[in-house]
Amino acid sequence: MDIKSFLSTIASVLVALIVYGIFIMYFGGDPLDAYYRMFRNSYLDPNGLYETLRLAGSLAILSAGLALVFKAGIWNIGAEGQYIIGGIASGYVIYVFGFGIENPIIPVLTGMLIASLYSALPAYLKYKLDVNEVLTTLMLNYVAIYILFYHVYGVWRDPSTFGFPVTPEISEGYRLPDILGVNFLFPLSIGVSIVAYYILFRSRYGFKLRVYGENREAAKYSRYNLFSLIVGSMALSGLASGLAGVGDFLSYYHRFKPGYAAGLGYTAIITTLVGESNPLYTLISSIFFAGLLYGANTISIVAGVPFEGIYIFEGVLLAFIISRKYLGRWIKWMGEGSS
Amino acid sequence: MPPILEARDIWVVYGDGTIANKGISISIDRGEIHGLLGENGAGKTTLVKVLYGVVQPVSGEIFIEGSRVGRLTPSKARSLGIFMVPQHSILVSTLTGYDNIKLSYPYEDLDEKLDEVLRELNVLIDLNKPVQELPRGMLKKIEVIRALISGAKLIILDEPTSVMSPIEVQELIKMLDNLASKGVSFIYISHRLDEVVEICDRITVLRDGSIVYSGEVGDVSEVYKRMFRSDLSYERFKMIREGFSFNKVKVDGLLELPEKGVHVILGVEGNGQDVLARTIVSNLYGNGFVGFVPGKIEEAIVPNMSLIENLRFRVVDNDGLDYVALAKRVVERYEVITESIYKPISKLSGGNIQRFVVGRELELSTRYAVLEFPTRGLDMRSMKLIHRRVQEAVDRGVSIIYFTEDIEEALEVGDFISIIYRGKLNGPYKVGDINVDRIKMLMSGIGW
Repeated sequence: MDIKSFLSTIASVLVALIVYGIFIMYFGGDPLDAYYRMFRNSYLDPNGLYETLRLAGSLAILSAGLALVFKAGIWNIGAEGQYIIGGIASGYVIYVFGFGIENPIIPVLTGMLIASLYSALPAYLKYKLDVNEVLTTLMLNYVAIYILFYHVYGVWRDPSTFGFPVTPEISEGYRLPDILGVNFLFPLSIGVSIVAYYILFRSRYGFKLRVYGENREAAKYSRYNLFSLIVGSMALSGLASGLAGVGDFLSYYHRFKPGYAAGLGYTAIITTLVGESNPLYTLISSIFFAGLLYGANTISIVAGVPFEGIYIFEGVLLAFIISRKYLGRWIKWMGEGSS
Repeated sequence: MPPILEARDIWVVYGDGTIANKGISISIDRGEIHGLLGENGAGKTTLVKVLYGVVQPVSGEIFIEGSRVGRLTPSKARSLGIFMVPQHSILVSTLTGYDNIKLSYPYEDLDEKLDEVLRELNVLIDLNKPVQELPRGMLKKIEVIRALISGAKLIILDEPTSVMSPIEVQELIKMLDNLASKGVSFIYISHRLDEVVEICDRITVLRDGSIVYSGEVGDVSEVYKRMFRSDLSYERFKMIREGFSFNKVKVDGLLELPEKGVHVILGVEGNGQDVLARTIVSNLYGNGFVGFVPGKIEEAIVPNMSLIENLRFRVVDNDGLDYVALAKRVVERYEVITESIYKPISKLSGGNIQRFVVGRELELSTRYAVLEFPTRGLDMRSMKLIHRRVQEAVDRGVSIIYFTEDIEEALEVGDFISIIYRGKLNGPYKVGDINVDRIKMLMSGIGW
């Protein structure tokens, strides 16, 4: 990331914070105090830090996958759905098939594989029929959500909870343990980000992906295998989303509930764009966003500011991040311009 | 009456330290067509960008109709009657000509003004067709008309004829002459001296950012000598212009590849060259690295990547290639002017990108190379250089398919010549077995 785009990212975040601050003020809060509390609760308080890093882990794994496809100019909006489908698939291993081994490995691998296929489907449609992946991946999110509801409200509902829409808790053997007091997903996400970085910036495949993302014609001109680029990168992206989905299920929720689809797949789009689709930067933006997400929760309790305000923040930030390329050009043009 | 536009002592220094204009002064009278000539990178584009307000000079003054303007911006330039028609059309291709004009002049009296302009110009233009369906010569006219309607007094035309057929060039020249006689001024940027001689009243020739000639057109060979560092004859490069029209059609001719040497496919662009080139390339697939310079050079580069990566993406699966050394070799041998091979290729000028791509493809070719208009837009020095390198590639055993529009170039580089016209091929002839008149006839669609 060069200094210019770094500064424009910081500027975008600041503007979004100001807009969010106005929102907080509207609900009678003091923005500076709210931000201070958010920061303190998210990063300095031990419980808060645990939650923040847990969220950061999920976001970073999702973002690492999205970085691969975004760099290739493929807009996978379906991380949310792939996350859910990954979780549900692992649920089948645990609730339905069992296999008699109480171990997280098979559920994790199953979830990743199924999520990967779920992601490869719109990619194949794009490859074969040139179907716009934004629409298909977005629509498949809704399919995934209703599949989740079907299981939570229906077939997997825990009869012992007197009608609450939750599934039974999974047994200890399936759970992913904490590592050094940190949720399993966070250290895992560091590994995943490094692997994704390696694929994207150190491997031939990643190089081809970036060429394809920069100039489709150039990739065709060099006879790259478009199937492997489009479907392959989306499958990898789905693999990561599925891992995050299963990971949250096995390490944190231990059961499904309607709130399992908490919108992390959408937030990950923003963390990925803020991190310029570089898996090492998205790791950082994920930690930042995780703090905000958890913090927004805190201030909704402490200051009575609706949690949804965080989406205003995300929206404003997204608008700025997307438009900064054009803003940059405009500023340059106003300044002096060059050939 | 003061000149419509006058610039005094313009200096432009870019962020990377390049001095693109070194104290240039130029003035354009009312109704004058002023030619602006120079090699690639001589500073022509920079100068007109200054006059249009896109680039701010570090020093110098600009006067429009006698009064000094301070900081010029494109919108200010337009409001003062200065318009620019860039080399590549900026019309919205799916809209009609009429709608395109309306976009820049959305006022009630548009129809009235349009009628008036069209009557005065006496040109036939179908303004009710989407512009993508119109020939390219027409697009330039629409862009000129659009500028006129918005009140243009001076129109800057950047390489207006670079992809036009000769007959379209003649029509455009007629239109500009007509407008000039009515008091509209033009700055006409071109590589083609014969055109400039025909149309311009005065010319300014730039080299390395400074003026080397300014005044009447006069002795053209003298102008050419000043324009280029080496001494080249003007006659060699005079384009042969014949009136013929062409359409985009599929190629159905067969092609014989020479064992070794250069097979030139000669014809005006848009006669099916691109389809033919791609067909040849896909048929050659499997014969080692097949060099290919496509007609649209932007398909052959990845703008935001460095020169090294722009070489690497062509041979990414090839083990053991030293990309860095190869990139350096291409930069050196093809005189690509760049600070560093680690810089994004988009920072290079058009001519340098062209030379880099041609160089890359030639250097990498093992057995075959297909070059679509490899010297298009290049100045003579660069053309010569490419011709030499093509010959060197042939010497190490590469067969080359070389597309060009230029008969002289065809005769110089080719061992065999085929003429392409409306998707059909005539040939191959051994160079020397076919005379120039016959070639001209075939290119014009006569004698098939």
